Amino acid sequence: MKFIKVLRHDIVQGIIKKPLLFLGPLLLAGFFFIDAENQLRLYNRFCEEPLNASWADYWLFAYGGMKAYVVTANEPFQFPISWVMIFISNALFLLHYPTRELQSVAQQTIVHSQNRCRWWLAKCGWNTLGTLLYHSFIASALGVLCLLQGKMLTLEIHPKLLEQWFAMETDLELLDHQQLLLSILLLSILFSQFLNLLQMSLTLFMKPMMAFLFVAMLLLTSAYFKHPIFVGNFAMPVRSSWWLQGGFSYRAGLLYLPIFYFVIILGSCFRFRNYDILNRE
Amino acid sequence: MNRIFKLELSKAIKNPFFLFSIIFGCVITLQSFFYNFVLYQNEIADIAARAAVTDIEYNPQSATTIVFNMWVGGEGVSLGSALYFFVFPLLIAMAYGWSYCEEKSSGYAKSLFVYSGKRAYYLAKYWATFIAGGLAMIGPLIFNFLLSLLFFPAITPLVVYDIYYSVFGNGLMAKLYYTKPFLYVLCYLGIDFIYCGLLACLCLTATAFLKQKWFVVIVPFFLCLMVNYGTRFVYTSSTKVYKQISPFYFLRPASTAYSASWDVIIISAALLFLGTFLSCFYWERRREIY
Repeated sequence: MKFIKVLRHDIVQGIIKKPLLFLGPLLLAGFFFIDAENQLRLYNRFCEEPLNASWADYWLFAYGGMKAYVVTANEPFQFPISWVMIFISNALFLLHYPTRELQSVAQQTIVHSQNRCRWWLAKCGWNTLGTLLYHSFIASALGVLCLLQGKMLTLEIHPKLLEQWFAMETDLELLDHQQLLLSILLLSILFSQFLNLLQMSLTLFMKPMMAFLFVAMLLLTSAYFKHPIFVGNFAMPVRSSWWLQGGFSYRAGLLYLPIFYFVIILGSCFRFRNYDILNRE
Repeated sequence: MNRIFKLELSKAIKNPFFLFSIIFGCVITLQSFFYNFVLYQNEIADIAARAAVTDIEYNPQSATTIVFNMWVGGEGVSLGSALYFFVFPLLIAMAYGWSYCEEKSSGYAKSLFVYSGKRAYYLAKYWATFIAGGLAMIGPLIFNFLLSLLFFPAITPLVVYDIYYSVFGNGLMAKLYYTKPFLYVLCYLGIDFIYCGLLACLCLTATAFLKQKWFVVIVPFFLCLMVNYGTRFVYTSSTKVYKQISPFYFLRPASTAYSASWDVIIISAALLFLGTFLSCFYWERRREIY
């Protein structure tokens, strides 16, 4: 059984036959849009020059993250719920399939594929594709909603609006760089891929619920600490150098995340070669 | 009835996942303890240093760093506190929430139905899950509170320093906090126990729809996340003072953004109880098992 054949099987069973993977991001995008609309209405009510938000504004509203948390006695930590929801929902949707496969038909498929690594690499490919689709569904749904509501389907950003939404100032002169915006978009997807692959690989060492717990903790820790070791920081546009001087370099993110991604693939492949697939719960 | 209840309770308390939940929760709360301990030590050193260089009498504000705002439930700024009150729905469900799903899919539940009857089995399972969930929540909190009591002074909080305590006049049981703080902590532990017990029972309801036990365990966490996200559609005015509706925040004895309220806690707990109890006793019980 060739790699491509296993991958095709995974795409059919793990993506096409999983309506949650399509419906989840669509629902989330709908909620993000309504939420952003409410905030925009609030902004326009008190603003002298009412603004019409663009697709990029809505996207940043959902993926923006939170400003760095500074510990003060009377300001308890509150996690960025939209940001957490995006990444954790994706992790949840992609947790189900490989575990179920290992409990059911994996033994046959692995024997047929004649190579354990091939089977695992197909799962990694499925995971990557699932992540890409998830985020493209969110982006597309936001785009469709923008079109339906007469919003601008552009990469133009309104700094004033974002300052209001995230309660922090931006480095205004840098905000015209639309290519940078694309890099930030790419970083969010890369981080998501890293997170989902990490979770899938962790299921080879621990129970899936513990792998999920680990991912949830990584997300919260990334929100709490502004430090590059917590890679979630790279997926928060409001903490990037693009947003503020002294923020995280998007170039570093574009370098680190793919490296981590490939290290996880290699490590998990190595682990899977000696993984006991019999009598798994 | 008694035997099946004892059996379920023993399974709930003695299983490794329950122990993992408690120990892992304690480890998380330890971070909060160490963070606050260092803070407290620095403050004492600061007071001593000031006293050494000046004769001027000043207010050392001893009542600002006390056990009631230094234990994991009394503060909301340390990573340990943030983490614990974020992952608790996973920990409480992990304790024993998965058991019914596992017993149902393995067929063990059928044997127990024959042994004790469906009604007794579901009742025992419900209470065992409830107790395990509640204990998994308050176990680490009690551990942290007792540990904090060893190192921080147990001075009764003073209203003038309310900004240091995060319990304000409109807060839940605020009067109790400033008069009988130990009773306040005890009451909050009671609230957390009952609410998290009910939240853990949500796994029993989820078992009706889901087949994988680890997927069932994530349901309470996801529900809490959705409720938390729902607050964005409720808290729409910046001038109005709302009541906290997110379990991530109202189960924390120190208020975070908005204060907790009895109305929200009682109504949501009643809904949880009705939803889980009815689904367990009327839906699952009447299901054909063979």
